[in-house]
Amino acid sequence: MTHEEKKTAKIVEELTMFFFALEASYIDTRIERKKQHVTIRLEADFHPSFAEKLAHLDHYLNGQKNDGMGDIYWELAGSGDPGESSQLLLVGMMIDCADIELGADRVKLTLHRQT
Amino acid sequence: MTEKIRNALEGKEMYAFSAATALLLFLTAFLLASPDELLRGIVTIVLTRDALVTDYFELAGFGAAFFNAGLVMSMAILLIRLQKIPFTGLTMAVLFINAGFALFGKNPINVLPMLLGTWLYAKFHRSGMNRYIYTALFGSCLAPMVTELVYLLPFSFAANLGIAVAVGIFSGFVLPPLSVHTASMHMGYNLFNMGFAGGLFAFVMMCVLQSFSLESSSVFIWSYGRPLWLLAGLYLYFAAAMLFGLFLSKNCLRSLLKLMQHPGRAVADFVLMDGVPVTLVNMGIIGLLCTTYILLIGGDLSGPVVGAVLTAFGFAAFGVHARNYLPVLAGVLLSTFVTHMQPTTPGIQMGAVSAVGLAPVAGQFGIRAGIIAGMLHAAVTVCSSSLYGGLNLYNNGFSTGLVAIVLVPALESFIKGYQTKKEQKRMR
Repeated sequence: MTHEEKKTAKIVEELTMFFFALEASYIDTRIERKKQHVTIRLEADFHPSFAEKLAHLDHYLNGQKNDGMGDIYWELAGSGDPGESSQLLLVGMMIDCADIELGADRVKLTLHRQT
Repeated sequence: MTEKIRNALEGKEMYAFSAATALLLFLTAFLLASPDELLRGIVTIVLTRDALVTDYFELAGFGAAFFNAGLVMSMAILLIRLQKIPFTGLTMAVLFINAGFALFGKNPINVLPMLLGTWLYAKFHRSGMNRYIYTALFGSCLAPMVTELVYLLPFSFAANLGIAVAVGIFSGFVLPPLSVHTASMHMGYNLFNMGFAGGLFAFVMMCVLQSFSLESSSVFIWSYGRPLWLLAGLYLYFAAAMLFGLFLSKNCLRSLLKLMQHPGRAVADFVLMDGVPVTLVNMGIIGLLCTTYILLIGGDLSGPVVGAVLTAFGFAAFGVHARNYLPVLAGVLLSTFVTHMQPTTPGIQMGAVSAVGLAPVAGQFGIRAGIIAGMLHAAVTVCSSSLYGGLNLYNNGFSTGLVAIVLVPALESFIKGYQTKKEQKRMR
């Protein structure tokens, strides 16, 4: 397995941890791999009392991609305490962009990553 | 008028601040020494062995040391700009660690082999250098290995130089993958990740050298005292950083309280998470805090101490704030009451300031855990440099890495166990 594939797996792990912290009872993830492009789709529910935690999701996930930082710290993704926003920022550094569909108690994420 | 300046600086605030700092270092150098003295000082810095601790203030004078810091910082800024790397919190940390350590160990010549090695690593993996620029710039902590080998090896000068440069290039090649694994070892609780990776590499190199009956020994060149102009200059500089932050946004004091809620564990990039203005204010606070601590204990404003303060200042954009640093600092100070060490022992002075590397422990696990981390760091840092004969400049980074690896799993199991018991009691 290459580092790029491990990074994709780590991104899924981090997002799963994040939504566990938001008391998700349902998390569905799908990964589509093409030659140099990976799409990660995640759908999850969350307890409405955590809606505030998701307010900054766009800020963290759609910040600028930073390969330099991502390449040093990618192994940390998914290793922290659930709900840590700095780890979500790390995911944002490892992807190119994210589409976010946020409902009252459910969220759909589509993350795009050039490898 | 102020709005116009703010608009002109938008998105370039940290670049402007870093460039202004490099200019300030050059200006200070020219105020303190003549061009002729600066040239002689730089030649001395380049030609002397740089093993830890070689204080350039003492070795070549204040002017040449600041000029060297300006050169190394400018080189780093240039590389960051050429690779189109954004000026985030980690960028500020890497720039200021380079400026700081250029007061005691790094110079524009001895960092080159590591940069070249990392560039070769990027080429080998068909990647752009922009992926590894942080690793390359942090990785120059092994710079003393290059100069040390030139003087240590038993061959001709040309052969020694060739081998030393080759070893420097090799270390730059090895550090990128090594630093990824060390980050997962301490799980981001040591902010000086490259110091730990560099320390491991230097330790292996030291063992290899010893197997050939070659031994590098630590150096101790240290300038004592606290020149008033330097103290005043540091206070003014850190205050200026805070004022610049306040100029950019008057509301950033409220944001500071929010920033201080972050545990600080990597990757807590305050520039990206909370914005530039509040990050600058936080940097200024940490700079003032460190300088005041040194003043209160009667410490020295030597090259290594000022370098450590600048490093802490930079890392205040990447995980460090007063709330998570003070417990660790208190731990280092408390350890001096129960051990043979004094707060003014040079290694402890540097250790106290560099304890910022363990700030995430206090941020995540609380004040008591931070104090324990600080006490352990004080004990480890004074003996760890002998493991690699001063070949790794980030000795405190190695120490904070060891402490985090030993302490964090214990804290996690203890605190999680305590929380589970508390939860069970509540359920009953």
